[in-house]
Amino acid sequence: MHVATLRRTLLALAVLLPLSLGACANDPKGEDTVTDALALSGSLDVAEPATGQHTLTITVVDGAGAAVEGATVTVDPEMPMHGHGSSETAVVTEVGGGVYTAFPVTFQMPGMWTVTVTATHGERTGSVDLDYTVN
Amino acid sequence: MRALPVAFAALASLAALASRAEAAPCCMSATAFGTGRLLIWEDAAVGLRTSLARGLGQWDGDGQWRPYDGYDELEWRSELWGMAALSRRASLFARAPFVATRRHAGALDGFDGGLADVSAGLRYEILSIGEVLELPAIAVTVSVTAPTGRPTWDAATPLGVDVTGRGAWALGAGLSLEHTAMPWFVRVDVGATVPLPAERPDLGVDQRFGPELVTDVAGGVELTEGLVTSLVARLTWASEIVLDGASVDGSGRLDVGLGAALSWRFAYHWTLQLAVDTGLFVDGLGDNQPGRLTGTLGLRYGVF
Repeated sequence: MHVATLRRTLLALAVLLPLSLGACANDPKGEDTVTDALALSGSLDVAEPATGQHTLTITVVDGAGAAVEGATVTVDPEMPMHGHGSSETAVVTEVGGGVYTAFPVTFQMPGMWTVTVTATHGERTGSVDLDYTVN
Repeated sequence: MRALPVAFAALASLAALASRAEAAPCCMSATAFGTGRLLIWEDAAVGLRTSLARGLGQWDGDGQWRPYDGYDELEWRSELWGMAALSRRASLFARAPFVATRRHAGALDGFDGGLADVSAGLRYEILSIGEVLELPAIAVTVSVTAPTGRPTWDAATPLGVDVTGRGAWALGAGLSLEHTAMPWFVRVDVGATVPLPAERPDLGVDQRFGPELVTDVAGGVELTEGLVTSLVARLTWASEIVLDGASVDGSGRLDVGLGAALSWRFAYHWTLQLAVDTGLFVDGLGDNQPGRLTGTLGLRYGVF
């Protein structure tokens, strides 16, 4: 490895390592996750979801906490332990101010569900996994 | 839930009459439960089995039993099956199941269905029943299941009631041991199913369901000529799902259950089959698995 390449690698690690540690420290399952530049959070219309259709409200902000408008947001409910997803595809609507809603987020059967929300805005992306126990 | 104890009590009472019954080792377990096998004088057999299964709850990933609350599920399954002898020891079989499901959750209610995953295979009897009296009959099977049903990603109903298949090919192999001491019989079936990887178009990844090991142990008695009753204990264990090469934590399954069956050959060619099957709805006797109570009615026609 050339010295210049080694120096660039060490510099990149010095910058990225504290950032990644900071992200992990604020990364409890089901809450905000920062991937690249966008941070997403989501909340379902009820705290203890039942089987059926739900509305998911999603907030997208950038690294500085500013609302991101015009992002492309996708929502994928999945039962990872059963190996299948939802029977319906959620349609995402932008409300404004970095807020988006997805409906229907459908849990067609009880059990453990993970809803993966992904947002893309230009070169920036972000995602969050939201875990729910559905009754 | 009271149906099962009643069925077992009835079985025990009937078994007490068995000592006076006539029996033929060739026939007893052939049609006792499931699709079974050909009787030794048959060239072929066809049948229709219809089941009604009520979902009562599920075991979560920690093996805790959780009864459904505010959610109803009823599954109707009809299976058209056939088998044909190729030789004295070899036979072909095929099954075409149709599934319809009704689910109710909150304001949603749905009922739909269609063709499920069809399967076909070959059975070969290494040692036929009664061939060597001291030894059990031994048969092996190989099978293939095709993804002819509708997988979840093609569902068009909110509650997924039109989902009838898993969306993946599967290969199976099994071993069946059967021993008779008239009028009683014991049958042990052990089988393995290996689902093949399949693309998940909704996620854009390859997924492989975990290989399954299925074991049935059955004991039965011929009460009188043509009337056979049996008890079945079953266990299914499946390993974890693999998604793009990585195992999905907690996605393995365990399913344990008991069943009782009654088979009545009421005419030379015709056999009527009745069966009940249930999971054991307590913590630890299931894992990541729905729990159901199932009743089955079957009609079988033997060609000879």
